[in-house]
Amino acid sequence: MTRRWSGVPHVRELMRDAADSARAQKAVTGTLVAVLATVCFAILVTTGQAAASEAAVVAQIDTAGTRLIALSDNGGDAGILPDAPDTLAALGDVTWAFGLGEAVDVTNPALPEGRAAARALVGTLPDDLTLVRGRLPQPGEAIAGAGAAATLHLGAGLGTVQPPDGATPAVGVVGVFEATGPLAGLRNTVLIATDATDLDTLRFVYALATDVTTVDRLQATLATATPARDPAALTVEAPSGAIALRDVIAGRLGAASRQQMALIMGVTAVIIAVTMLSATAARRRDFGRRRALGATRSALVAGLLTQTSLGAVVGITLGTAAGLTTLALTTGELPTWRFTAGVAGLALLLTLAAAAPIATHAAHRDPLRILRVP
Amino acid sequence: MTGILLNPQAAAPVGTAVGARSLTFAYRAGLPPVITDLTVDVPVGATTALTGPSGSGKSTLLYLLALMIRPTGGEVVWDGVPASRMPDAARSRLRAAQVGFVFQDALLDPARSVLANVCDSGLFAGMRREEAADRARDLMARFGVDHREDHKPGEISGGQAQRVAICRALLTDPRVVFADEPTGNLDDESASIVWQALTDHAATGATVIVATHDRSLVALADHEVRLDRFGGATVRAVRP
Ligand SMILES: Nc1ncnc2c1ncn2[C@@H]1O[C@H](COP(=O)(O)OP(=O)(O)OP(=O)(O)O)[C@@H](O)[C@H]1O
Ligand SMILES: [Mg+2]
Repeated sequence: MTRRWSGVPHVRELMRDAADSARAQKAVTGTLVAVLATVCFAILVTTGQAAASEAAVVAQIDTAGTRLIALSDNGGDAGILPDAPDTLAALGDVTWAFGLGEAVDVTNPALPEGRAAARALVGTLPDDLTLVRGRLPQPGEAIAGAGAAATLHLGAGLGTVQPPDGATPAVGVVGVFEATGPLAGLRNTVLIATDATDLDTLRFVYALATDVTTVDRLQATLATATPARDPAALTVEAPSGAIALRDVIAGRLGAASRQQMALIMGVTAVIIAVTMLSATAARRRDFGRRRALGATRSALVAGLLTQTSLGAVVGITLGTAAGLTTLALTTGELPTWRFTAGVAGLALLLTLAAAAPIATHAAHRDPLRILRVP
Repeated sequence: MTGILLNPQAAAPVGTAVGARSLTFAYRAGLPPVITDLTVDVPVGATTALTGPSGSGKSTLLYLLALMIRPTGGEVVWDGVPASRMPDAARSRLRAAQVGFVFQDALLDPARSVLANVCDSGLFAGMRREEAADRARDLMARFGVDHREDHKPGEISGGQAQRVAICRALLTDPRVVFADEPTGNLDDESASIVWQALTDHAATGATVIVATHDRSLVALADHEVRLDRFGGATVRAVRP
């Protein structure tokens, strides 16, 4: 006589049995699918969007855009002293600083119909300005932004500029630069290298912080550290990137949607628990029968959790697909795969966490009490 | 209550797989025990009829011996080991691998096909589904219920349900079969097919215990264990 059974079910057969149960309990499985699909969809289209913009901000960390602080004397009353760039560049947290004087209209005396703004430049030429033709200017020489060079018909990038009324002498243009990033606005400007001693005041000073984390501190000190006749009239602008980054670090960006997400998750856990309660109540006799036939409690729990996970995985897949599609169509921004996988994983964990105590409770009912009470 | 081993002229017990030692059981603290101080050995390779008036505790004793419930006192012994003291998971595995149980009311899952019900015991024993289905079909053919394999239990007769339950109990070729009134719903012909199957199974070296009121079955059994009620709560077990 062969007595060859171990009394331990094959994992694969338990899974197949759980799949059968999932198919048999259509209402339960349908509820799980619908709830988890809704949850994943809702989280992706709300929090996912915030996460996508967070990711975009974080990706910008340490580009000059998040570190550049602009001081401006918009009304012309602050009277920024021309040695301000040198003073600021000497600060520990500043990589470089340069200042711009008041704008004056200039033309190319050889072809005088085009006009562009020219400003005195004091200090180091920043990295965001790239020389595309010619050479760097000596004091008294100018370089033209690519846009200004075209307007002024400085074909080869060389020539002279002069105010149209000829009030000041012509200045030699020795190069053309391309401006990118936060300084892109200078593309249409002619910059005239000037000794600080030859100027009365500056209208703008730009300072690049060594590190994005020092931007805040620097912004606070710049207003007072900048030599000016009336520092109170200065406007200090920190980069929007740094502001957004501060929000990311402080968790403000998306905090509301995270709270929303926690609420959604909480409600979901309750719905799953209630669904599981009715599912296990409906199968009381089935569990008693299975226990009598030799199912261990853990086999029952494993089977129930597998059954639940199957419904959950289908729901999560559908909801995630719908959420990502919606995001792609509406915002064009997708959250990182880590965020997406995190939401899916969290939803599955939540399902199991809500289902586990109920499955365990169901498996611990006395099988015989169930069997003997029809 | 007394457990008496009758039919001494039947084939001598060749050994024992299952037994009770000073077994006492009450469904709830405060209720009089259903079984009190019962000591009995069930012979291997033979059929044993478990008899007694209604309410004397036949079903309860089967559940106890099959390790589905734990005794209030004493112990159930399997192969000399106090199996009733084993942890729940170990008792469950032993049940899955070595026990076939026919319940008094068949106890089929009304939601699934008759074939799936028969295969159930194989799942927990550790069978592959396909293997279980093959064995199930063989057994169902033997008991004349193979043409009903895709039906739900609600669509077959009580007698057919009882035969399906026996198929499920025999699926794993168990060492010990407990059958609670397995012929209660059957006509004479079906009853004798079932009895023959249980006898054949015992002949392979298995232990077969059948709770029954049917005196004609008792006459065919190798042994009889009779539970008697001695009024009120005063019960005791005697082993000859
Ligand atoms: N769940 C329960 N709670 C309390 N008492 C119970 C329970 N189940 C059975 N009993 C009692 O235990 C006693 C034995 O019941 P059991 O079903 O074992 O008897 P039986 O010999 O199988 O009877 P029958 O021949 O009618 O099947 C009976 O008095 C019954 O009322
Ligand atoms: Mg009974």
